[in-house]
Amino acid sequence: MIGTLVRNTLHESLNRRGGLVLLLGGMAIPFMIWLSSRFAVENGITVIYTVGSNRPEDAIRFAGAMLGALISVANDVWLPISVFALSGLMTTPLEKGYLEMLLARPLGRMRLLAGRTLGIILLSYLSIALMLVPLVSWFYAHVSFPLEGKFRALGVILLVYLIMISIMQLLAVLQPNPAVVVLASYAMFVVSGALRQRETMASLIDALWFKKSLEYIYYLMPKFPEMSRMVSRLSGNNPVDSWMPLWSSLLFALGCWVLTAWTFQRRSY
Amino acid sequence: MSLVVQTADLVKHYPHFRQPPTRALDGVSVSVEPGTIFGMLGPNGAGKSTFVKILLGIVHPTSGKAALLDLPAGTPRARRRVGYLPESMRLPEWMKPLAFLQFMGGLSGLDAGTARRRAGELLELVGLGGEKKVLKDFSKGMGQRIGLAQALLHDPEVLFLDEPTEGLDPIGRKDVCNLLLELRKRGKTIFLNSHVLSEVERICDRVMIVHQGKILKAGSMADLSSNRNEYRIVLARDGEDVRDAFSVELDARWEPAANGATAVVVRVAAANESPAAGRARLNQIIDRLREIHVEIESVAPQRDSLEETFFQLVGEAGK
Repeated sequence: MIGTLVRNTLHESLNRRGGLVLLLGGMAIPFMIWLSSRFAVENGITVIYTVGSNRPEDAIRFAGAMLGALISVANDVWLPISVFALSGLMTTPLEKGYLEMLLARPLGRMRLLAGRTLGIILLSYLSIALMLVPLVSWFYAHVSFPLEGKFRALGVILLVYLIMISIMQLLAVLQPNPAVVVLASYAMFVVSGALRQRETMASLIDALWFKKSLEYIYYLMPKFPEMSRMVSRLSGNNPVDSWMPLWSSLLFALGCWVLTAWTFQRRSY
Repeated sequence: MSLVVQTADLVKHYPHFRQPPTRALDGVSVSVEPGTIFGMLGPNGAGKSTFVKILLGIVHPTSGKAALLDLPAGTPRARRRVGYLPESMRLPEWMKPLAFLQFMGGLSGLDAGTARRRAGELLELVGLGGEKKVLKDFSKGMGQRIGLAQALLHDPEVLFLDEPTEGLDPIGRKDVCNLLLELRKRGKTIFLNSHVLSEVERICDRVMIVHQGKILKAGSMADLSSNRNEYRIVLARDGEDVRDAFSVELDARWEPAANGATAVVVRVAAANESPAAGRARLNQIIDRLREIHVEIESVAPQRDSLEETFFQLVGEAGK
């Protein structure tokens, strides 16, 4: 039954504007890079020509830089777009009139929630895969370059998406309205950005309780800017200063899942 | 014979911030036998939908017990044998009818092949065979038909239908009523929430009238469309001697009848008297009429219609 729900979510995504944007948009970026670039071998060295430039570039350097940029796009640009695209999919099965029909079926509420969530996670990962896998394969067919850092960065991105989806899922269960889910999710980005500047904020108000409260809230909340920096560093094969932003955000996501499950299980519809 | 539905002192209160809770159900105890069409009547907000939703596990009760097919109500195992059509149904607009029914079949535990076959059969049954439109383009009536189809998909033993004929044209209504009667013949138990009293009167075996979460009256159709202890007797002729035959009765109302005959509506027993006493008095009247050779064309008990009973009970409860 979970498989039925996952299939239905993917099927729905292909029939909704948001889902299509996510999948086709994910494919469009590598397609444009492929369309505007051409590999060639000159003096035994693989080079790449891009549209509008007659000067060959070193293919290894180009591929590394392009993948690094694409990974940053997947994290910094694609994440907010995904929030917008996935919000409708999150709230549809929770809408009054449809939810009753689903809840009257012989499957537990947790299974219903899990099936839908798995479908949404799969869809978001599919859009990242469509963005990165064809391009990596195309680059790798012509030149070989180190991918270890890129894979690590990708791993962090997948976790960041998981964190975002957990927040959206909780919001959808509390208030099944896509606009509310989008706005509140974007507010989380803003809050986590503001909390990164907590020291500046604390310097404005000279009260110990305020400083301490900010510090507690910072550790409690997801840390999107820090994770974005983490992705950039890993993608450039640089070491990460601290993994705390990632694991504390994952703990926050876990809290969101638990609260989502508890609310969904207990609520009367 | 085990009961399909059994509830004991079922209570559901919806809490409100700084306000008294809404009492959606207030101690409802009901038993429903298999193979019957059970109608639930009540004004908006009476608790009809809440009652059904508690049985299906969509709403959690505040207190009380509810069992469905001898299993605790609301469990997935109990729901496996149940079909449900919600009142304000919302369909996934992007889906086509066949795909929607296949999806619902999958969630009901049917394998893909069976779900496809059943979906096709049911689309034919509800008059949507060959329909290729997406659900977004469906009219209200078509939506209601597909809702009915999804409720029947896994051939459930019990059907909970909340306003199944809403939005349907008269022909559609008749078709649905006939379908429900056919399903009852096949041994299905049907729970029907409806505002259309004539429909309920026509097809239901038992009816429960609820108001503000309480049962006002429950029983068979005969119990609810209650005998008023009044009979309409059509006589071939009128006259002083005839009228004298009724002189001792509680109340007699004379009126002209068809073909020049005379009718008298006579109350044969007071409200606090048993129907048996009324019947005995009716027979005395008939004996007297026959003694004076008055030809009796017909004798018909006067009953309250379900509608009259409903308005009377709800009116009294609202006072």
